[in-house]
Amino acid sequence: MSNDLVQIGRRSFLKRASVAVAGVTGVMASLSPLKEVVGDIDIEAWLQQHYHELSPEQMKDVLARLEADAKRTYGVDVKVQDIKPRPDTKFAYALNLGVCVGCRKCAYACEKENNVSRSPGMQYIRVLEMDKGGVNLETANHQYDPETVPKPDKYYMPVQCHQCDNPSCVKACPVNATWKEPDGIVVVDYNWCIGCRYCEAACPYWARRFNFEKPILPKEEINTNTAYLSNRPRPQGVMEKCTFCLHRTREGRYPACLEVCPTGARVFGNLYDPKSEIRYVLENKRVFVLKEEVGTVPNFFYFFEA
Amino acid sequence: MSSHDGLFNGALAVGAGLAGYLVLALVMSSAAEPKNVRAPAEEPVNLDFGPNERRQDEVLLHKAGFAYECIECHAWQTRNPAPRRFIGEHLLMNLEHGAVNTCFTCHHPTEYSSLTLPSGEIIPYNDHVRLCAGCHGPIYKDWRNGAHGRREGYWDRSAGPVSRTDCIICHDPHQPAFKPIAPLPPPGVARGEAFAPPEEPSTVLGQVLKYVPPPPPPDRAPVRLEETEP
Repeated sequence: MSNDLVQIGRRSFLKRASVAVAGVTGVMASLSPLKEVVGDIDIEAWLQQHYHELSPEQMKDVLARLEADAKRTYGVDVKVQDIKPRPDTKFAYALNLGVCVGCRKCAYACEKENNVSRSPGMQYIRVLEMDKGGVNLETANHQYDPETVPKPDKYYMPVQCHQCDNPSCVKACPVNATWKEPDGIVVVDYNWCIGCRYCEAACPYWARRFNFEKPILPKEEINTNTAYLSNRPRPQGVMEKCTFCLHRTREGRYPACLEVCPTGARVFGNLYDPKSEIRYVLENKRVFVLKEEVGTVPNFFYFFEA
Repeated sequence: MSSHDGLFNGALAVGAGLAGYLVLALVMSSAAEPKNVRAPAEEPVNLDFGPNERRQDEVLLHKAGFAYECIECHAWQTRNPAPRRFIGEHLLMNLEHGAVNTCFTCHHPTEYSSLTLPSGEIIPYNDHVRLCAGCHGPIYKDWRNGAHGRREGYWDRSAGPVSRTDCIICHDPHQPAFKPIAPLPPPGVARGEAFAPPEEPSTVLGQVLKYVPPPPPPDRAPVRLEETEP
Protein backbone atom coordinates (compact mmCIF):
# COMPACT_ATOMS: atom_id res chain seq x y z
CA MET A 1 0.00 0.00 0.00
CA SER A 2 2.71 2.46 0.98
CA ASN A 3 4.53 1.80 -2.32
CA ASP A 4 1.39 2.69 -4.28
CA LEU A 5 1.05 5.98 -2.47
CA VAL A 6 4.67 6.87 -3.02
CA GLN A 7 4.33 6.29 -6.74
CA ILE A 8 1.72 9.06 -7.14
CA GLY A 9 3.57 11.90 -8.66
CA ARG A 10 3.15 15.60 -7.94
CA ARG A 11 1.41 16.27 -11.27
CA SER A 12 -1.13 13.46 -10.96
CA PHE A 13 -1.80 14.38 -7.31
CA LEU A 14 -2.62 17.95 -8.22
CA LYS A 15 -4.84 16.76 -11.05
CA ARG A 16 -6.78 14.43 -8.81
CA ALA A 17 -7.04 16.98 -6.01
CA SER A 18 -8.42 19.62 -8.36
CA VAL A 19 -11.04 17.19 -9.64
CA ALA A 20 -11.96 16.33 -6.06
CA VAL A 21 -12.27 19.99 -5.08
CA ALA A 22 -14.42 20.67 -8.13
CA GLY A 23 -16.60 17.70 -7.27
CA VAL A 24 -17.11 18.77 -3.69
CA THR A 25 -17.89 22.30 -4.81
CA GLY A 26 -20.43 21.01 -7.27
CA VAL A 27 -22.13 18.87 -4.66
CA MET A 28 -22.26 21.78 -2.24
CA ALA A 29 -23.71 24.01 -4.95
CA SER A 30 -26.38 21.45 -5.77
CA LEU A 31 -27.29 21.21 -2.07
CA SER A 32 -27.49 24.96 -1.58
CA PRO A 33 -31.34 25.08 -1.63
CA LEU A 34 -31.24 22.80 1.39
CA LYS A 35 -29.63 25.56 3.38
CA GLU A 36 -33.04 27.20 3.49
CA VAL A 37 -34.56 23.96 4.70
CA VAL A 38 -31.97 23.57 7.42
CA GLY A 39 -32.76 27.08 8.57
CA ASP A 40 -36.26 25.92 9.57
CA ILE A 41 -35.35 22.62 11.15
CA ASP A 42 -34.57 22.41 14.81
CA ILE A 43 -31.67 20.00 15.22
CA GLU A 44 -32.98 18.82 18.59
CA ALA A 45 -36.37 18.06 17.07
CA TRP A 46 -34.66 16.32 14.17
CA LEU A 47 -32.67 14.07 16.51
CA GLN A 48 -35.48 13.43 18.99
CA GLN A 49 -36.10 9.80 19.89
CA HIS A 50 -39.38 7.92 19.60
CA TYR A 51 -41.89 8.62 22.35
CA HIS A 52 -41.34 5.20 23.89
CA GLU A 53 -37.57 5.64 24.02
CA LEU A 54 -37.50 9.02 25.70
CA SER A 55 -36.21 8.97 29.25
CA PRO A 56 -38.05 11.18 31.77
CA GLU A 57 -35.23 13.73 31.59
CA GLN A 58 -35.32 13.80 27.82
CA MET A 59 -39.11 14.14 27.88
CA LYS A 60 -38.74 17.11 30.19
CA ASP A 61 -36.42 18.78 27.70
CA VAL A 62 -38.75 17.94 24.83
CA LEU A 63 -41.76 19.45 26.59
CA ALA A 64 -39.79 22.59 27.40
CA ARG A 65 -38.72 22.85 23.76
CA LEU A 66 -42.30 22.42 22.53
CA GLU A 67 -43.51 25.11 24.90
CA ALA A 68 -40.80 27.45 23.64
CA ASP A 69 -41.73 26.64 20.05
CA ALA A 70 -45.36 27.45 20.70
CA LYS A 71 -44.40 30.69 22.40
CA ARG A 72 -42.23 31.67 19.43
CA THR A 73 -44.82 30.70 16.84
CA TYR A 74 -48.06 31.92 18.39
CA GLY A 75 -46.93 34.22 21.21
CA VAL A 76 -48.94 32.24 23.74
CA ASP A 77 -47.77 30.50 26.91
CA VAL A 78 -48.84 26.93 26.16
CA LYS A 79 -48.46 24.25 28.81
CA VAL A 80 -47.46 20.90 27.29
CA GLN A 81 -47.71 17.86 29.55
CA ASP A 82 -47.00 14.20 29.08
CA ILE A 83 -50.09 12.65 30.65
CA LYS A 84 -49.82 8.90 31.14
CA PRO A 85 -52.80 6.52 30.91
CA ARG A 86 -54.71 5.72 34.08
CA PRO A 87 -54.55 2.17 35.39
CA ASP A 88 -57.60 -0.11 35.07
CA THR A 89 -59.19 2.17 32.53
CA LYS A 90 -60.42 1.62 29.02
CA PHE A 91 -62.38 4.38 27.38
CA ALA A 92 -65.42 3.92 25.20
CA TYR A 93 -67.99 6.22 23.70
CA ALA A 94 -71.66 5.88 22.84
CA LEU A 95 -73.79 8.23 20.79
CA ASN A 96 -77.57 8.42 20.77
CA LEU A 97 -78.60 8.96 17.16
CA GLY A 98 -82.21 9.37 18.25
CA VAL A 99 -81.57 12.76 19.84
CA CYS A 100 -78.65 14.12 17.80
CA VAL A 101 -79.91 17.15 15.87
CA GLY A 102 -76.87 17.66 13.64
CA CYS A 103 -75.96 21.14 14.88
CA ARG A 104 -72.18 20.51 14.49
CA LYS A 105 -71.42 22.08 17.87
CA CYS A 106 -69.33 19.03 18.75
CA ALA A 107 -67.16 19.48 15.67
CA TYR A 108 -66.44 23.11 16.45
CA ALA A 109 -65.87 22.53 20.16
CA CYS A 110 -63.41 19.79 19.24
CA GLU A 111 -61.62 22.06 16.79
CA LYS A 112 -61.14 24.68 19.47
CA GLU A 113 -60.24 22.28 22.27
CA ASN A 114 -57.66 20.42 20.19
CA ASN A 115 -56.01 23.38 18.43
CA VAL A 116 -56.97 22.00 15.03
CA SER A 117 -55.96 24.12 12.07
CA ARG A 118 -58.83 26.40 11.11
CA SER A 119 -58.08 26.53 7.40
CA PRO A 120 -58.85 24.44 5.51
CA GLY A 121 -61.47 23.15 7.93
CA MET A 122 -60.29 19.68 8.93
CA GLN A 123 -62.38 18.96 11.97
CA TYR A 124 -62.00 15.55 13.57
CA ILE A 125 -65.79 15.06 13.77
CA ARG A 126 -67.79 14.76 10.57
CA VAL A 127 -71.56 14.90 11.04
CA LEU A 128 -73.26 12.84 8.35
CA GLU A 129 -76.80 13.63 7.28
CA MET A 130 -78.48 10.31 6.65
CA ASP A 131 -81.79 9.25 5.17
CA LYS A 132 -84.15 7.78 7.71
CA GLY A 133 -84.80 4.09 7.29
CA GLY A 134 -81.27 2.72 7.19
CA VAL A 135 -77.57 3.29 7.70
CA ASN A 136 -76.53 4.00 4.12
CA LEU A 137 -73.17 5.75 4.06
CA GLU A 138 -73.24 5.92 0.26
CA THR A 139 -75.95 8.58 0.33
CA ALA A 140 -74.71 10.38 3.45
CA ASN A 141 -73.96 14.06 3.14
CA HIS A 142 -71.59 15.93 5.43
CA GLN A 143 -71.87 19.29 3.62
CA TYR A 144 -75.53 19.82 4.51
CA ASP A 145 -76.37 23.43 5.26
CA PRO A 146 -80.12 23.98 5.75
CA GLU A 147 -81.63 26.90 7.62
CA THR A 148 -82.45 24.74 10.61
CA VAL A 149 -81.74 21.22 11.73
CA PRO A 150 -82.97 18.55 12.17
CA LYS A 151 -84.79 18.09 8.89
CA PRO A 152 -87.81 15.84 9.38
CA ASP A 153 -86.77 13.08 6.96
CA LYS A 154 -83.13 12.92 8.05
CA TYR A 155 -81.08 11.82 11.00
CA TYR A 156 -77.56 12.85 11.87
CA MET A 157 -74.58 10.66 12.61
CA PRO A 158 -71.36 12.23 13.90
CA VAL A 159 -68.30 10.17 13.00
CA GLN A 160 -64.92 10.56 14.65
CA CYS A 161 -62.06 8.24 15.57
CA HIS A 162 -63.49 4.98 16.89
CA GLN A 163 -60.31 4.05 18.87
CA CYS A 164 -60.49 0.54 17.43
CA ASP A 165 -59.21 -2.51 19.26
CA ASN A 166 -57.87 -3.79 15.93
CA PRO A 167 -56.74 -0.53 14.36
CA SER A 168 -55.87 -0.72 10.68
CA CYS A 169 -54.19 2.70 10.84
CA VAL A 170 -51.65 1.41 13.37
CA LYS A 171 -50.83 -1.58 11.19
CA ALA A 172 -50.37 0.65 8.17
CA CYS A 173 -47.83 2.98 9.79
CA PRO A 174 -44.36 2.13 8.47
CA VAL A 175 -42.46 3.87 11.28
CA ASN A 176 -44.58 3.07 14.38
CA ALA A 177 -45.49 6.71 14.83
CA THR A 178 -49.02 5.76 15.86
CA TRP A 179 -50.01 3.13 18.40
CA LYS A 180 -52.72 2.07 20.82
CA GLU A 181 -52.28 3.15 24.41
CA PRO A 182 -53.20 0.87 27.36
CA ASP A 183 -56.40 2.83 27.96
CA GLY A 184 -57.56 2.19 24.42
CA ILE A 185 -56.73 5.51 22.79
CA VAL A 186 -54.90 5.45 19.46
CA VAL A 187 -52.33 8.25 19.53
CA VAL A 188 -49.80 9.83 17.16
CA ASP A 189 -46.26 10.97 17.99
CA TYR A 190 -46.28 14.09 15.85
CA ASN A 191 -42.49 14.32 16.02
CA TRP A 192 -42.02 10.77 14.75
CA CYS A 193 -44.64 10.88 11.96
CA ILE A 194 -43.16 11.10 8.47
CA GLY A 195 -46.37 12.25 6.84
CA CYS A 196 -46.82 9.34 4.43
CA ARG A 197 -50.60 9.30 5.03
CA TYR A 198 -50.83 5.50 4.82
CA CYS A 199 -52.88 5.53 8.04
CA GLU A 200 -55.33 7.99 6.55
CA ALA A 201 -55.88 5.62 3.63
CA ALA A 202 -56.17 2.61 5.94
CA CYS A 203 -58.84 4.07 8.23
CA PRO A 204 -62.34 2.97 7.18
CA TYR A 205 -63.95 5.81 9.15
CA TRP A 206 -62.11 8.76 7.59
CA ALA A 207 -61.02 9.74 11.06
CA ARG A 208 -57.47 10.97 10.38
CA ARG A 209 -56.45 14.39 9.17
CA PHE A 210 -53.24 15.61 7.54
CA ASN A 211 -51.62 19.00 8.06
CA PHE A 212 -50.99 19.94 4.46
CA GLU A 213 -50.03 23.40 5.63
CA LYS A 214 -48.66 24.89 8.77
CA PRO A 215 -51.70 24.95 11.07
CA ILE A 216 -53.50 28.28 11.16
CA LEU A 217 -54.61 29.09 14.69
CA PRO A 218 -56.00 32.41 15.90
CA LYS A 219 -53.85 33.43 18.83
CA GLU A 220 -56.78 34.23 21.11
CA GLU A 221 -58.44 30.85 20.50
CA ILE A 222 -55.47 28.63 21.31
CA ASN A 223 -56.13 26.13 24.09
CA THR A 224 -53.12 26.41 26.37
CA ASN A 225 -53.81 23.21 28.31
CA THR A 226 -52.19 20.64 26.06
CA ALA A 227 -50.61 17.21 26.10
CA TYR A 228 -47.77 15.75 24.07
CA LEU A 229 -49.93 13.04 22.51
CA SER A 230 -53.08 15.06 21.91
CA ASN A 231 -53.64 18.74 21.36
CA ARG A 232 -50.26 20.46 21.43
CA PRO A 233 -49.71 22.69 18.38
CA ARG A 234 -48.67 20.46 15.50
CA PRO A 235 -46.06 21.08 12.80
CA GLN A 236 -46.78 20.98 9.10
CA GLY A 237 -46.79 17.62 7.35
CA VAL A 238 -47.99 15.29 10.13
CA MET A 239 -51.15 13.29 10.76
CA GLU A 240 -53.52 14.00 13.60
CA LYS A 241 -56.77 12.58 14.92
CA CYS A 242 -59.30 12.49 17.72
CA THR A 243 -57.77 11.28 20.99
CA PHE A 244 -60.97 11.32 23.08
CA CYS A 245 -59.42 14.55 24.48
CA LEU A 246 -56.92 12.49 26.47
CA HIS A 247 -55.58 15.62 28.16
CA ARG A 248 -59.05 15.91 29.72
CA THR A 249 -60.23 12.32 30.01
CA ARG A 250 -57.04 11.03 31.63
CA GLU A 251 -57.66 13.57 34.37
CA GLY A 252 -61.20 12.31 34.85
CA ARG A 253 -63.04 14.94 32.84
CA TYR A 254 -65.47 14.47 29.97
CA PRO A 255 -64.34 15.11 26.39
CA ALA A 256 -65.11 18.53 24.95
CA CYS A 257 -67.56 17.20 22.36
CA LEU A 258 -69.67 15.61 25.09
CA GLU A 259 -69.84 18.71 27.25
CA VAL A 260 -70.97 20.94 24.39
CA CYS A 261 -73.66 18.61 23.04
CA PRO A 262 -76.95 20.50 23.53
CA THR A 263 -79.10 17.38 23.49
CA GLY A 264 -76.93 15.16 25.63
CA ALA A 265 -76.57 12.62 22.83
CA ARG A 266 -73.08 11.57 23.90
CA VAL A 267 -72.11 9.11 26.63
CA PHE A 268 -68.53 8.51 27.70
CA GLY A 269 -66.92 6.37 30.34
CA ASN A 270 -64.66 3.63 31.55
CA LEU A 271 -65.50 0.17 30.21
CA TYR A 272 -63.83 -1.53 33.19
CA ASP A 273 -66.10 0.22 35.70
CA PRO A 274 -69.40 -1.72 35.95
CA LYS A 275 -71.16 1.36 37.35
CA SER A 276 -70.09 3.68 34.55
CA GLU A 277 -72.49 5.40 32.20
CA ILE A 278 -71.07 3.66 29.17
CA ARG A 279 -71.63 0.28 30.75
CA TYR A 280 -75.24 1.20 31.46
CA VAL A 281 -75.75 2.03 27.78
CA LEU A 282 -74.04 -1.11 26.54
CA GLU A 283 -76.08 -3.29 28.89
CA ASN A 284 -79.46 -1.62 28.35
CA LYS A 285 -79.53 -0.28 24.79
CA ARG A 286 -79.39 -1.92 21.40
CA VAL A 287 -76.02 -0.56 20.31
CA PHE A 288 -74.27 -1.10 17.00
CA VAL A 289 -70.88 -0.20 15.60
CA LEU A 290 -70.12 1.33 12.25
CA LYS A 291 -68.76 -0.99 9.56
CA GLU A 292 -68.65 -4.00 11.84
CA GLU A 293 -67.74 -6.20 8.86
CA VAL A 294 -64.31 -4.63 8.39
CA GLY A 295 -63.17 -6.14 11.68
CA THR A 296 -61.68 -3.07 13.34
CA VAL A 297 -63.57 -3.68 16.63
CA PRO A 298 -64.39 -0.05 17.45
CA ASN A 299 -64.84 1.35 20.94
CA PHE A 300 -67.45 3.79 19.63
CA PHE A 301 -71.07 2.68 19.76
CA TYR A 302 -74.24 4.10 18.28
CA PHE A 303 -77.79 3.57 19.49
CA PHE A 304 -81.25 4.91 18.79
CA GLU A 305 -83.29 6.01 21.78
CA ALA A 306 -85.88 8.74 21.98
CA MET B 1 -97.61 50.21 36.09
CA SER B 2 -97.85 52.57 33.10
CA SER B 3 -96.15 50.11 30.77
CA HIS B 4 -98.94 47.61 31.39
CA ASP B 5 -101.91 49.88 30.88
CA GLY B 6 -102.17 49.15 27.20
CA LEU B 7 -101.99 45.49 27.80
CA PHE B 8 -104.65 45.58 30.45
CA ASN B 9 -106.85 47.68 28.20
CA GLY B 10 -106.43 45.09 25.51
CA ALA B 11 -107.32 42.33 27.92
CA LEU B 12 -110.42 44.22 28.93
CA ALA B 13 -111.47 44.46 25.34
CA VAL B 14 -111.55 40.70 25.05
CA GLY B 15 -114.99 40.81 26.59
CA ALA B 16 -117.06 38.96 29.06
CA GLY B 17 -115.60 36.80 31.75
CA LEU B 18 -112.72 39.20 32.30
CA ALA B 19 -114.14 41.14 35.20
CA GLY B 20 -111.38 39.67 37.27
CA TYR B 21 -108.88 41.58 35.22
CA LEU B 22 -110.65 44.84 35.90
CA VAL B 23 -110.71 44.20 39.59
CA LEU B 24 -107.10 43.16 39.50
CA ALA B 25 -106.03 46.14 37.45
CA LEU B 26 -107.76 48.51 39.84
CA VAL B 27 -106.28 46.77 42.83
CA MET B 28 -102.81 46.71 41.40
CA SER B 29 -102.85 50.27 40.16
CA SER B 30 -104.18 51.65 43.41
CA ALA B 31 -102.18 49.52 45.80
CA ALA B 32 -98.60 50.25 46.72
CA GLU B 33 -95.88 48.48 44.78
CA PRO B 34 -96.16 44.78 45.60
CA LYS B 35 -93.14 43.00 46.94
CA ASN B 36 -90.94 40.88 44.71
CA VAL B 37 -92.06 42.68 41.58
CA ARG B 38 -89.41 42.72 38.92
CA ALA B 39 -88.85 45.58 36.54
CA PRO B 40 -89.81 44.88 32.93
CA ALA B 41 -86.88 43.86 30.82
CA GLU B 42 -85.34 46.78 28.95
CA GLU B 43 -83.97 44.82 26.03
CA PRO B 44 -85.98 42.77 23.54
CA VAL B 45 -86.27 39.32 24.99
CA ASN B 46 -85.41 36.18 23.10
CA LEU B 47 -88.22 33.73 23.66
CA ASP B 48 -86.62 30.99 21.62
CA PHE B 49 -85.38 28.36 24.00
CA GLY B 50 -83.31 26.40 21.56
CA PRO B 51 -81.82 23.22 22.89
CA ASN B 52 -78.50 25.00 22.92
CA GLU B 53 -79.81 27.59 25.35
CA ARG B 54 -80.09 26.78 29.00
CA ARG B 55 -83.42 27.85 30.42
CA GLN B 56 -83.13 30.30 33.23
CA ASP B 57 -84.77 30.04 36.61
CA GLU B 58 -87.68 32.22 35.67
CA VAL B 59 -90.96 31.62 33.98
CA LEU B 60 -91.82 32.65 30.47
CA LEU B 61 -93.81 35.67 31.62
CA HIS B 62 -90.76 37.24 33.20
CA LYS B 63 -88.77 36.64 30.05
CA ALA B 64 -91.40 38.54 28.11
CA GLY B 65 -91.19 41.54 30.40
CA PHE B 66 -94.24 41.01 32.59
CA ALA B 67 -93.40 42.13 36.06
CA TYR B 68 -95.63 40.15 38.36
CA GLU B 69 -95.90 36.63 39.66
CA CYS B 70 -98.60 34.17 38.57
CA ILE B 71 -100.05 34.04 42.03
CA GLU B 72 -100.70 37.75 42.15
CA CYS B 73 -103.53 37.25 39.67
CA HIS B 74 -104.52 33.71 40.40
CA ALA B 75 -105.13 34.34 44.06
CA TRP B 76 -108.13 36.38 42.94
CA GLN B 77 -109.42 34.06 40.21
CA THR B 78 -111.91 31.31 40.48
CA ARG B 79 -110.54 28.06 39.20
CA ASN B 80 -111.75 26.49 35.98
CA PRO B 81 -110.31 23.03 35.39
CA ALA B 82 -111.77 22.66 31.88
CA PRO B 83 -109.37 22.61 28.91
CA ARG B 84 -109.70 25.88 27.03
CA ARG B 85 -107.86 28.41 24.91
CA PHE B 86 -105.52 30.77 26.66
CA ILE B 87 -105.93 34.51 26.36
CA GLY B 88 -103.99 37.57 27.38
CA GLU B 89 -100.49 36.98 28.65
CA HIS B 90 -101.14 33.26 28.66
CA LEU B 91 -100.78 33.26 24.89
CA LEU B 92 -97.08 33.11 25.62
CA MET B 93 -97.59 29.86 27.44
CA ASN B 94 -99.01 27.53 24.83
CA LEU B 95 -99.41 24.10 26.28
CA GLU B 96 -97.99 21.60 23.80
CA HIS B 97 -97.15 18.71 26.03
CA GLY B 98 -98.62 15.52 24.63
CA ALA B 99 -101.75 14.45 26.45
CA VAL B 100 -101.25 17.07 29.15
CA ASN B 101 -103.84 19.70 28.29
CA THR B 102 -104.91 21.17 31.59
CA CYS B 103 -102.98 23.27 34.07
CA PHE B 104 -103.89 21.07 37.02
CA THR B 105 -102.30 17.95 35.65
CA CYS B 106 -99.10 19.31 37.12
CA HIS B 107 -100.00 22.46 39.08
CA HIS B 108 -101.86 22.17 42.31
CA PRO B 109 -105.28 23.83 42.09
CA THR B 110 -104.99 25.66 45.40
CA GLU B 111 -101.34 25.62 46.42
CA TYR B 112 -100.04 27.90 43.68
CA SER B 113 -96.40 27.63 44.64
CA SER B 114 -96.44 23.87 44.40
CA LEU B 115 -96.86 21.03 41.98
CA THR B 116 -99.00 18.01 42.50
CA LEU B 117 -98.40 14.36 41.80
CA PRO B 118 -101.20 12.20 40.34
CA SER B 119 -101.58 10.77 43.83
CA GLY B 120 -102.49 14.20 45.14
CA GLU B 121 -99.25 14.68 47.02
CA ILE B 122 -98.03 18.26 46.98
CA ILE B 123 -94.38 18.73 46.02
CA PRO B 124 -92.32 21.91 45.69
CA TYR B 125 -91.30 23.27 42.30
CA ASN B 126 -87.65 22.34 42.69
CA ASP B 127 -88.69 18.72 43.18
CA HIS B 128 -90.27 18.63 39.74
CA VAL B 129 -88.19 15.64 38.58
CA ARG B 130 -90.49 13.36 40.60
CA LEU B 131 -93.47 14.73 38.71
CA CYS B 132 -91.85 14.25 35.29
CA ALA B 133 -90.76 10.73 36.21
CA GLY B 134 -94.38 9.79 36.85
CA CYS B 135 -95.03 9.70 33.12
CA HIS B 136 -91.52 9.45 31.64
CA GLY B 137 -90.24 6.51 33.64
CA PRO B 138 -87.77 4.98 31.14
CA ILE B 139 -86.24 8.37 30.40
CA TYR B 140 -86.00 9.06 34.12
CA LYS B 141 -84.11 5.80 34.53
CA ASP B 142 -81.75 6.74 31.71
CA TRP B 143 -81.24 10.14 33.26
CA ARG B 144 -80.45 8.66 36.64
CA ASN B 145 -77.85 6.42 35.01
CA GLY B 146 -76.25 9.15 32.92
CA ALA B 147 -77.58 8.11 29.52
CA HIS B 148 -80.01 11.01 29.06
CA GLY B 149 -79.37 14.69 29.43
CA ARG B 150 -76.52 17.07 29.11
CA ARG B 151 -73.52 16.62 31.40
CA GLU B 152 -70.42 18.61 32.27
CA GLY B 153 -67.60 17.83 34.62
CA TYR B 154 -65.94 14.56 35.51
CA TRP B 155 -66.72 11.04 34.31
CA ASP B 156 -64.53 9.91 37.22
CA ARG B 157 -66.64 10.84 40.23
CA SER B 158 -63.66 10.47 42.54
CA ALA B 159 -61.79 13.17 40.59
CA GLY B 160 -64.54 15.77 40.62
CA PRO B 161 -68.25 16.54 40.37
CA VAL B 162 -70.60 16.23 37.43
CA SER B 163 -73.27 18.78 36.68
CA ARG B 164 -76.86 17.91 37.54
CA THR B 165 -79.12 18.88 34.66
CA ASP B 166 -82.76 18.66 35.70
CA CYS B 167 -85.55 18.13 33.19
CA ILE B 168 -86.68 21.74 32.90
CA ILE B 169 -83.18 23.09 32.32
CA CYS B 170 -83.41 21.75 28.76
CA HIS B 171 -87.15 21.14 28.33
CA ASP B 172 -89.69 23.91 28.72
CA PRO B 173 -92.38 22.04 30.67
CA HIS B 174 -95.15 23.71 28.68
CA GLN B 175 -93.53 22.98 25.28
CA PRO B 176 -91.05 20.22 25.95
CA ALA B 177 -90.13 19.42 22.35
CA PHE B 178 -86.85 20.88 21.14
CA LYS B 179 -87.16 23.54 18.50
CA PRO B 180 -85.04 23.26 15.33
CA ILE B 181 -81.83 25.28 15.45
CA ALA B 182 -79.42 26.62 12.86
CA PRO B 183 -76.43 24.36 12.23
CA LEU B 184 -72.89 25.65 12.30
CA PRO B 185 -71.26 25.97 8.85
CA PRO B 186 -70.14 22.85 6.99
CA PRO B 187 -66.46 21.89 7.14
CA GLY B 188 -64.08 23.52 4.70
CA VAL B 189 -66.00 26.79 4.40
CA ALA B 190 -63.90 29.91 4.62
CA ARG B 191 -64.74 31.72 7.82
CA GLY B 192 -64.18 35.39 7.08
CA GLU B 193 -61.29 37.52 8.21
CA ALA B 194 -61.18 35.99 11.67
CA PHE B 195 -58.16 33.99 10.65
CA ALA B 196 -55.06 35.32 8.99
CA PRO B 197 -54.23 34.01 5.50
CA PRO B 198 -51.58 31.28 5.43
CA GLU B 199 -48.08 32.64 5.13
CA GLU B 200 -45.96 31.53 2.20
CA PRO B 201 -43.86 28.50 3.06
CA SER B 202 -40.31 29.72 3.47
CA THR B 203 -38.56 26.51 2.54
CA VAL B 204 -38.06 24.58 -0.66
CA LEU B 205 -39.53 21.55 1.06
CA GLY B 206 -42.50 23.61 2.15
CA GLN B 207 -43.08 24.87 -1.38
CA VAL B 208 -42.99 21.34 -2.74
CA LEU B 209 -45.46 20.19 -0.08
CA LYS B 210 -47.61 23.28 -0.40
CA TYR B 211 -51.22 22.35 -0.80
CA VAL B 212 -53.58 24.84 -2.39
CA PRO B 213 -57.05 24.29 -0.97
CA PRO B 214 -59.88 24.52 -3.49
CA PRO B 215 -61.72 27.85 -3.43
CA PRO B 216 -65.07 27.88 -1.68
CA PRO B 217 -68.11 27.46 -3.91
CA PRO B 218 -68.90 30.79 -5.57
CA ASP B 219 -72.50 30.83 -4.43
CA ARG B 220 -71.57 30.76 -0.75
CA ALA B 221 -70.36 33.94 0.84
CA PRO B 222 -67.79 33.52 3.60
CA VAL B 223 -69.56 32.77 6.83
CA ARG B 224 -68.45 34.11 10.16
CA LEU B 225 -68.87 31.67 12.96
CA GLU B 226 -70.19 34.23 15.41
CA GLU B 227 -73.01 35.31 13.13
CA THR B 228 -74.41 31.86 12.77
CA GLU B 229 -75.34 31.62 16.41
CA PRO B 230 -79.09 31.97 16.88
